[in-house]
Amino acid sequence: MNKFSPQFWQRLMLLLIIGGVLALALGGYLAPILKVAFTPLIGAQQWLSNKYIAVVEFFTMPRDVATLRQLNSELENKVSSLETQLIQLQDQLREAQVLYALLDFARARPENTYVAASVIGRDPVPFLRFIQIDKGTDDGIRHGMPVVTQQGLVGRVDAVTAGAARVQLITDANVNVNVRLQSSGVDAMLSGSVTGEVTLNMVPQDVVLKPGELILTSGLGGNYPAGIVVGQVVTVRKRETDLFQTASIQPSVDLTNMPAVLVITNFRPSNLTPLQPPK
Amino acid sequence: MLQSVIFSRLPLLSGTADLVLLVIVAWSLQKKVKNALVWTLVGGLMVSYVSAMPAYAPLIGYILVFGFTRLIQRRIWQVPILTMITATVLGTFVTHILNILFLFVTGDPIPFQESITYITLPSALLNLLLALPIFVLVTDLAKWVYPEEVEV
Repeated sequence: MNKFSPQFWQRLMLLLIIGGVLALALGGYLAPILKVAFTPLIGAQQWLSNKYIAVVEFFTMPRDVATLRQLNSELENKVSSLETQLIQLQDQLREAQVLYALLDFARARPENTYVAASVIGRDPVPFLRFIQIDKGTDDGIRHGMPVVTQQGLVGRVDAVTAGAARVQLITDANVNVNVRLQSSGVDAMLSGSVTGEVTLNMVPQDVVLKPGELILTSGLGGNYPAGIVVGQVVTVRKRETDLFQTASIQPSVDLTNMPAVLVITNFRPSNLTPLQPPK
Repeated sequence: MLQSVIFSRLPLLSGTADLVLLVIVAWSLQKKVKNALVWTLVGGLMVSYVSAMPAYAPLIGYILVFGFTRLIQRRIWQVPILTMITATVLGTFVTHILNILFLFVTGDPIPFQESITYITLPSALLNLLLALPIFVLVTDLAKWVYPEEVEV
């Protein structure tokens, strides 16, 4: 009788095979074989995993998309609100800069008292050059008070109510301002026109008038204080046959773009009517 | 207010659109509107109050515009848009010439040719550009204020 049964030899063989395979595996000799064997399995598992994820997303995506859309909408609203705030702040900054400039002008001339006013409109009739400001008799504004900005002369108060006033600009066709040439000290007259052009008149022929010459108010006539900048000479028209030479003037103030003005409240225009001879 | 704040600050050469004139003309052309004269007076008084023009010149001008708008409407009633355009151009010239006359009479004369060239003609062009949109808006307003009656 054999000591070792066939079953013993089978089990031994099996153990040796398993041990050999393990040894080969640990030694790394089975890697190529394992790679070939497992690659299809890995592919199948990937495919199955993708399908599973797709199914899960199919059921959960509407909730996520709705959340994202809501978040997006909230962010867009916030951006719009911030943009609006930014525009408002920029407007306030511009307004503050204008007011600082006017304040600097007022501080540099402490002999006058000023009331700042915003320009709120223009005359609806295009033949006239008037503006409306948002200060009136309640703020100490009176008829005839000069109106200036930090750049120069704007005009004169023409009509006043309790809360608003109308200012006649120097470019109006019916305005004449007594002025003085800064360099020579010669007196002349500045007139407006229907088209808004400003002309210097009654300049003697012997006066040397050059482009760029500064024009100031002379104070003659008592309608405006002396020494306020009015504008600069642009072109000179001198003809030997004329009594006077004329010039076109560029006003120092941009009268088409004035957000705010200063009204000189301690200056009262002189009433020369009693001194004028009867007609 | 719109005229004073916005349209008077948008010049072409030296001319500006006259929103009040356009609205008066458009409102006067609406068939169902019976109180156009009242609104003409209101508009004219408001402009006269705000403007430095003498002696209610804008009011008189707008009343004249209302008058001949109604006159033209009887002649060209089939084509209201053509009436609007005609009344706008004529109205611009009438109001501007009236303003020039008033300024001349009150002792503040302005050069006529320069005024027509630099103010009236550009104003007429601007008014023409705005005539149709204003007419459409006012027509819609009239339909809303005076809805059509439906027979049941």
